[in-house]
Amino acid sequence: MKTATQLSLFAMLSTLSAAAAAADSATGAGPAAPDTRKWQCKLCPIEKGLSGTVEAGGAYVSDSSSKFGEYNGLNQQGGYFLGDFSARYRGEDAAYWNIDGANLGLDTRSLNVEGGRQGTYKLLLNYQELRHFISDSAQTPFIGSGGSSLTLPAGYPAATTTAMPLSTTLRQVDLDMKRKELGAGVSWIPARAWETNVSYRHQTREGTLGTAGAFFVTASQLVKPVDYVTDQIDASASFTDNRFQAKLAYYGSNFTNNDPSLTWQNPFSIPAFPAAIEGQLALPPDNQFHQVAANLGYQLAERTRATADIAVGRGTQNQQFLAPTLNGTLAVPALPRTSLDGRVDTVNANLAVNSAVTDRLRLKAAYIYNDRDNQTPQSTYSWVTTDMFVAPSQRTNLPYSFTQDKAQLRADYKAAERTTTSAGYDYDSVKRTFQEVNKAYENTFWGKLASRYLDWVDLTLKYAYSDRNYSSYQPVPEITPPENPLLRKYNMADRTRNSGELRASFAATDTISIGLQFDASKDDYSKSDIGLTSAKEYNFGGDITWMLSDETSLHLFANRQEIKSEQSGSQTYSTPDWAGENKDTINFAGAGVKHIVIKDKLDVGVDYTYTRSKGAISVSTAANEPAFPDLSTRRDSVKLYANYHLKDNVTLRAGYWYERYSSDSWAVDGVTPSTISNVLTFGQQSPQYHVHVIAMSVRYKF
Amino acid sequence: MLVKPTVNQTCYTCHAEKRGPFLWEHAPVAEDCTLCHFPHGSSRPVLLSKSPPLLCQQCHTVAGHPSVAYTSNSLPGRGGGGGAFLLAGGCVNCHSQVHGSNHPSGVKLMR
Repeated sequence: MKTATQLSLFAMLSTLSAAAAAADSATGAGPAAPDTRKWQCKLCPIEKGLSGTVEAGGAYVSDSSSKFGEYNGLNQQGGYFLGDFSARYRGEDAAYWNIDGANLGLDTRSLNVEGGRQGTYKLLLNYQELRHFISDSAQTPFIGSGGSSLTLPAGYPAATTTAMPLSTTLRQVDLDMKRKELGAGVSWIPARAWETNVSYRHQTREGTLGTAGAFFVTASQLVKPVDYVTDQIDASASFTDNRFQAKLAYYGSNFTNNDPSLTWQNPFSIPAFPAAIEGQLALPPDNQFHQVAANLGYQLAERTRATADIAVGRGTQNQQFLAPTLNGTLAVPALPRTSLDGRVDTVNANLAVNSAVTDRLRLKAAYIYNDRDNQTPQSTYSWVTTDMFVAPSQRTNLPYSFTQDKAQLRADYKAAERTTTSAGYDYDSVKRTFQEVNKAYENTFWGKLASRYLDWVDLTLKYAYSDRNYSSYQPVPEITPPENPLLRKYNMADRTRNSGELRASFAATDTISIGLQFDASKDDYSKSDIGLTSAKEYNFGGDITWMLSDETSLHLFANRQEIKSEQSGSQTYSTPDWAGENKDTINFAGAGVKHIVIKDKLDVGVDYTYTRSKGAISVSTAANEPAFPDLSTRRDSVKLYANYHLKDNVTLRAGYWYERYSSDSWAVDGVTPSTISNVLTFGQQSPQYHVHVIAMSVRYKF
Repeated sequence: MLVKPTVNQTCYTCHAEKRGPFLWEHAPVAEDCTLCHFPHGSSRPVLLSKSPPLLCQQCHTVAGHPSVAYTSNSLPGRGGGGGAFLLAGGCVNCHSQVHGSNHPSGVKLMR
C-alpha cells in the first residue's frame, strides 16, 4: 500500500512538473519556476532599513600647479571641501535604493543613484564631472581666447616674431577642459528569463585646447574653444535560457559642436600676399552614429558552445562647408557641393565555436570580421593654399575604407594535473582602399604553457611569431607630391614580430606572495628602406605582498620598461641618408606599509612611489650630429594617513600628501613666443611642482 | 574585451569629435587610434607614442621639408634653422588638423 501511495504521489508530482514545464515551454522559458512564496531566508538574513556613511572634511593645497591638479581638481593653492556619502535602503519585497556621492567639493564630483525592486526593475541616475588642466604657462597676444574669433591688438602684423610687440601684448591663458555627464536609465524584467534596458547619457565638454594656424611658411599657436555635446542612447533586450542566450541592442550617438569654426587674424605680414590677413579653421563637425548589435550564444552540445557577436552601424556627417577662403580678393571656382553627405557603414562580427572535446582537450575556432565601408561621395575641389592663392591643381577627396578578415584556431591541452599547454594559429588580412597596399596579410603562430607544478608556484610562459606581407606596395596616384618610392608605411609594411611573456606568482609562505612578469617583443621591418625599420620593447616588473604580522602588512613593487625604435629617411628623395632613433625608458617603484597601532582604534599607513622616465632621441646624417637632450619626467610621491575610530560609528581621518615633479622637454624648454622667427608659440614650459596637501575628515556610519 | 566592437569605436564614446567622416581624412586616424597614441599612458603630451617630427616622418617623406633630417642643430641657440618643424608642436604647428578636416581648403590639414 505504501508503495502504491508513493507511486501515485510520484505520478502526481511528475504530472504537475510536466504541466508546469509544458506551460513554461509554451512561453519558451525553460524549466518550471519554483513557488517561492513560503520560502524564508534564515542563513543570511538581509538587513532592512537605511544604512550608510557620510564623510565631511577639508583639504589644503600648498601650491598652485596645473600639472599636479591635472585630473584630480586640486590645481589651485588653498582650501577645498571634501565630502563623500553612501546610503543603502532595503525594504519589503526586495525594494531597495542606493545613493553614492564622491568628491563633492572637487571638480571631479560624482553622484550615483540606483533603486527599484530586485528581480523586477531598477532605475539609475548618475552624474559625473571630470576636469583636465592642461597648461598654466601658455601665453598669447590674441584677444578673445576661448571664443571663435581671435583678434590682435595694435602693433600687428609684423614680418617676424622678433618684430612683434610681444612684451606689451602677451597675456597669460590657461588651457583646461571640463567634462560633465548626466545619465539616466531603467532596467526591468518583463517576463522570466528576459531583461530589458534603456539608458541615456548627456555629455558636455567645455573649455580650451591648443591648436595652430598657418599662412604658408608662418604659423601661430592658437587657443581653440571647445563646446561639445555628445548624447548617447543604449537600449537592449536579452533572453537567457539553458541552451540559448540572446541580446539585441541599439546604440545611438549624436555629436554637436557649438563652435563650427575658429577665425584668427594673421600676426605675420606677408608682402607677397597682402590680402592673407585672416584665416579660418574648421572645428570638428556635428556627426551621428547608429548601431544595432546582436550577441548570441548557443549550447550546440553538452561540451560545445557557439557564440556570435554582430554589430551593424552607420555614421553620417553633413555639416555645411565653410567658405574655401576668407580672402575676398581671390576668385575661387564654386565648390562641387555645399556639404559632404559623408556616410560610413560598419560591420563588426565575431563568431566562435568552443568545445571541450575531451576532458583534457579544448578546441576553439573563431572568425572575426571588421568592415569600415566609407560611402562618402567623391568630388573634385578647387582649394586655396592657406588663404593666399588658389592651388594650381584641384584635389579629389579619398574616402578610406578598411576590411579585416581574421581566422583564429586554438587548442588547449591539459598535459598533466596542473599543467596546460596551448597553441594557436591566426590568419589576419586587412584590405584598404586609396592606400599603398590593397591587401596585407599576417600569419601568427603561438604557444603557451601554464603550470602549477609546485603548490606554491604559478607559472605562465607564452611565445608568438608573426609574419606580415603585402600583395604589392604602389604609390597612391591622387596624392601629390608623391612619397619616396622606398618608403614603407609601417602599418602596412612587411614585418616579422617575435613576442614573449612570462608570468610567475609565488605564494612563498603563508604571509608572503611574490609576483613577477616579463614581456618582450621585437618588430623587424627589414624590407623597409625608408620609414620605421625596427621596434622593440621589454617590460620587467615584480611585486611583493608581505603580512609581517596580524597588524602590519607591507607591499613593494618595481617595474622597468624600455621602448626602442629606429627609422630611416632620405633628404635626397632617394636611398636612406639619415637615421632617427628613439629610446624611452620608464622606471617606477613603490613601497607601502599598513599598520594597526591600536586594535579597532587606530590604524596608519604610508605609501611611496618613485617614477622616472627618460626619452633619448637622436637624428643623425653622415655628419653625426649629437643626440637631443633627454626628455625626462621625475616624480616622487609620499602619502601618509591615519584613521582613528573615536566610537563604533565615528572615525576621524587625517592624511598628508607630498609630491614633487619635474620634467624636461627640448621641444618647449627655452622656446619663448619669439624664439622661432616664423612661428608664434605659446612659450609653454615643462611643468615642475612641489605640493603638500593636508586633509582631515570625519566619517559617520549610520 | 573592449567596451565597443573596435578600438576606434571605444575611443569615440568619449571623443566623438574625432569620428567624422571628414572631407579630408588622415588615413591612420580612421584606421586605428593606437597607431599614434598609447591610450594607457605615455610620457608625451596627448598620449603620443613618439615625438613629432619623427612620429610623422615614419610615413611622410615627400621631397621638401617632410624628408629633412631635423637634428639637434635646430634647437634654440645652436645655429641651425628648421626650428618651426621641430619645436613647440613640430609638424602640427602648421598641420594642426591632424585628425582630419572638413574645410574645403583643408587638403593639407592646415585649415
